[in-house]
Amino acid sequence: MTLDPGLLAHLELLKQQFAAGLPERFARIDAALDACCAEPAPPTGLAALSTALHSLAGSAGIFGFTALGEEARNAEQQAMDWTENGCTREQLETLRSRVLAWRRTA
Amino acid sequence: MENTLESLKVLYVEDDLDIQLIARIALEEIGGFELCTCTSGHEALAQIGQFQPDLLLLDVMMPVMDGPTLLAQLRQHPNAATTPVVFMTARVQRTEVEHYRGLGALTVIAKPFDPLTLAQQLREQLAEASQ
Repeated sequence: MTLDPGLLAHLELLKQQFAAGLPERFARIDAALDACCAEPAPPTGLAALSTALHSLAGSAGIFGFTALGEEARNAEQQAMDWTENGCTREQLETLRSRVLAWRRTA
Repeated sequence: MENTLESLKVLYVEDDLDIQLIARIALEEIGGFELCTCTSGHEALAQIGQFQPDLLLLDVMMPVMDGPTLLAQLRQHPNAATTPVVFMTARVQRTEVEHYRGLGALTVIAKPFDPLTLAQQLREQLAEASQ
């Protein structure tokens, strides 16, 4: 398949824009974690956390951030499990540490 | 199907705007498809009266109304009663894929998808289904 170089440049630009928007996505996950930590356990704000992780998981791989997408997908699954079974503050803080690591490597 | 596969009309429903944007490039600019893009199931149900698609391309996990629920409602409308459907999801374990096929899906596109080959994948599935 031969693609228009302009189109490839457009895709590359979108990838760069996605990368530039990653801090905002991480901040959204952080805010959801803050909200969860502020609630008495088990937190009921996990839906916002799942949504933020789902969005990152769905898009990161498409824009070439494969490892980040997989990490976010695993975390989303964990958040969904927590929604059903509850979670502890320690588990939330562990996830926060993982998100911090994503920030450093993305 | 009235249109050729080259000028396929697709009702595409995806709530994530980043994914929507890249899929639009993949399907419109690379694939040459005609898209009606919606951000929610409610928007798709509002649009289906004015758009007769050759293919429904539905994200599975969406807030308020998920893809399978949307499909059930779209099936009530004559413009989508028998239209082939493809789901897009990150959850592509065998049991999940079988479930979506049981709902009538031609196939399930795994996320993350490759924007360079997405249109071709859909063309192949439709060609196979029409044989």
